[in-house]
Amino acid sequence: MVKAKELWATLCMDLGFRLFSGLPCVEFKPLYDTMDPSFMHYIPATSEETALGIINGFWFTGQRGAILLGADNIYRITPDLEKINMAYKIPALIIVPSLKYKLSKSVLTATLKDIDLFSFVEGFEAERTVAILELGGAISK
Amino acid sequence: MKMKREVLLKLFTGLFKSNDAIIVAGSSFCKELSTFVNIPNFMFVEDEDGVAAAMALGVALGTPKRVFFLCEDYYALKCLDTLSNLAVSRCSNLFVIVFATKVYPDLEFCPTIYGSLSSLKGMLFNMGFKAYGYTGHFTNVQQSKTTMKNILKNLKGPAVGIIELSPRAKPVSANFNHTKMVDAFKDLVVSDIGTSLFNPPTELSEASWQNS
Repeated sequence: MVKAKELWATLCMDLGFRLFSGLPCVEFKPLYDTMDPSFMHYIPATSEETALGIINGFWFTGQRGAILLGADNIYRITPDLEKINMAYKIPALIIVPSLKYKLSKSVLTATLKDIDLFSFVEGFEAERTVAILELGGAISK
Repeated sequence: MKMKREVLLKLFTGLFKSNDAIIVAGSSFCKELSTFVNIPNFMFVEDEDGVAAAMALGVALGTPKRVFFLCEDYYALKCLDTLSNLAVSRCSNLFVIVFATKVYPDLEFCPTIYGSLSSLKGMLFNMGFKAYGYTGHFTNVQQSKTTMKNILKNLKGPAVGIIELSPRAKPVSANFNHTKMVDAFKDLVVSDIGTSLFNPPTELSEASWQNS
């Protein structure tokens, strides 16, 4: 069981993620409920491409951002991940409740309970690759 | 059309200041502009899906620098959903310039629906942009330069400007080093050389949104 408040605290306070964007997903409800505007911003995007673009642009400012997407929506941005993020070497962290599709081998995927989030984030950013973080299981407040 | 396409584009891209960040979208438009502009200020994104437009918003949210997004009308029409996100952003340093050729790039026989729309400017205005038409300002080079410089200096975003111009005569083939361009653009955005904004934004750090 992933605690939503603890996840936000680690991502925002410890790892410095400030901006989040994405489309609504029912499995993220505990995450939405525990969002705190005092240390993070969430921008509701009109499409998956928009969410990806906002976070890509935010990376240029030297700050960290991540995308929250439903498991079924990730396939919509896989062409853009290859055409833009991988071609231009712009790192992106995408948080999904679970991963249903097989993605390109150059996309790092990990399940939250199996990894050390700090080294995972440092690692994919240094290599400038796209990383997908599966929450893997129910999230509680 | 009173001014030739290349003359107008060269004139317009010459109006930017050294601390402005400019994002260009559309594969062939990027190739065309990359042949005559200063790379460090420009980020060419060979994208057709609206990601580049949203990138401009992402940059504008994290920096007080002026961020310009340049695209052709086919791209703007394709990513109206993304433009609506830009329109409600309240980023006073975000400017969209749409070059309306009324045809798809390098396909002069395929018109876009720009000409059939009652008003793209009106649509963008209703989304929340301050919308302007600049076509009439491009008459002769010297006069246009002075007028447009003043307009851009006093512009407050989120604003959109529409400039009608003739279609590209022939496809342009140009290559640019993606990684080098990304690094140079990031260095420009994170650098503390300040902004040329006429009205410095105050609420940027809050990233306040009308509907959040």
